[in-house]
Amino acid sequence: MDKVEFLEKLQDVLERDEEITEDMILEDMDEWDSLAAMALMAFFNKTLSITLLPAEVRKMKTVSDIINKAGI
Amino acid sequence: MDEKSYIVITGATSDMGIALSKQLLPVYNLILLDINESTLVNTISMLKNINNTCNIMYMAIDFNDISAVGKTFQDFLKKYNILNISGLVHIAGIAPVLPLKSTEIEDWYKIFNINLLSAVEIIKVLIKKQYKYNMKSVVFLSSIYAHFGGKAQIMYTVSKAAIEAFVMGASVELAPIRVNTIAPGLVKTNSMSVYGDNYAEQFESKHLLGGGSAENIADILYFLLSEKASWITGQTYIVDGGLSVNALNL
Ligand SMILES: NC(=O)c1ccc[n+]([C@@H]2O[C@H](COP(=O)([O-])OP(=O)(O)OC[C@H]3O[C@@H](n4cnc5c(N)ncnc54)[C@H](O)[C@@H]3O)[C@@H](O)[C@H]2O)c1
Repeated sequence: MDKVEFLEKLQDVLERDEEITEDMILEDMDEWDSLAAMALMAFFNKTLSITLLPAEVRKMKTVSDIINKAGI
Repeated sequence: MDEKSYIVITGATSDMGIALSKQLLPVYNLILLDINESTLVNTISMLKNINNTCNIMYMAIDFNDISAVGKTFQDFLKKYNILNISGLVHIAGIAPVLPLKSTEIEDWYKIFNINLLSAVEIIKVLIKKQYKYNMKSVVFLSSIYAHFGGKAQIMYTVSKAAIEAFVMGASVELAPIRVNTIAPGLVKTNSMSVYGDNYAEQFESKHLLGGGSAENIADILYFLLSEKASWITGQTYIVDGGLSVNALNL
């Protein structure tokens, strides 16, 4: 999966209408709440086979933190 | 001749399974079921160190392979010629954290297979005529989540509520075999370490008596298996250290 594809998927997971870009701050997105965080963990687990812990999610500040964790 | 009856425990290598086995050792023989063979072997050698007088049998089995569970269990009983089984405790369970929108149908099948249907298949064996006259008590693990919603816990809530409904129905069909379930609040076990952050702490703080231990759970499971509970069937016991009665205090 390349970065563009990943960002599209992320947009899906977070159910966001507008595009998502790397430099976006998670806290600033209306869609970013605890359910979105759990959806993100499920997405990592199922699609990327990466176990993401709640504590790791809490440390993420920007979309690029998510991309880094995904190793993309 | 060995007169002790057997108790079947699923999820036997979990903290609760081990705590219960320790209590049962002096009085019953055990059949331990779980998914991982080497963990089962380790658990049994640990139990044998505590008490070497009881028979402990085991079988490694994946409950998600649901269509094989009944036959595999029955073949196992036949192979070892085990007839005298007086109880079943279904501890095996999974609690995937998935918001509804992230769930796929396979996720739902899996949680139902492991949390409820595997036990249904085992019970169907234990009520065949060669076993049923020895059977006395079945105990399930529900959860306080069967009574309250929690974020991303929808599959778990539904599967545990199904257990409580099954218990009610089965107790009517299977009497005099007793069928009951307990609905615990937070029990501090190995599995909670995946949350490994302040979630568990915050959740624990809502329990008037603090979080529970595997031994707390083993105590009530033991009671419900035993003759002391001989007039109790079809019930769900909430065992939650005061969590649910404290719901209005934010
Ligand atoms: N820990 C709690 O706070 C809590 C609260 C309420 C209810 N419960 C219930 O108590 C039970 C034990 O919970 P725990 O916290 O000790 O969890 P755990 O994960 O430590 O134990 C679950 C057991 O189920 C077994 N299992 C999982 N998948 C299986 C499969 N496919 N086939 C066969 N066995 C399988 C595991 O090997 C394990 O022994 C569960 O039913 C859980 O829902 C736990």
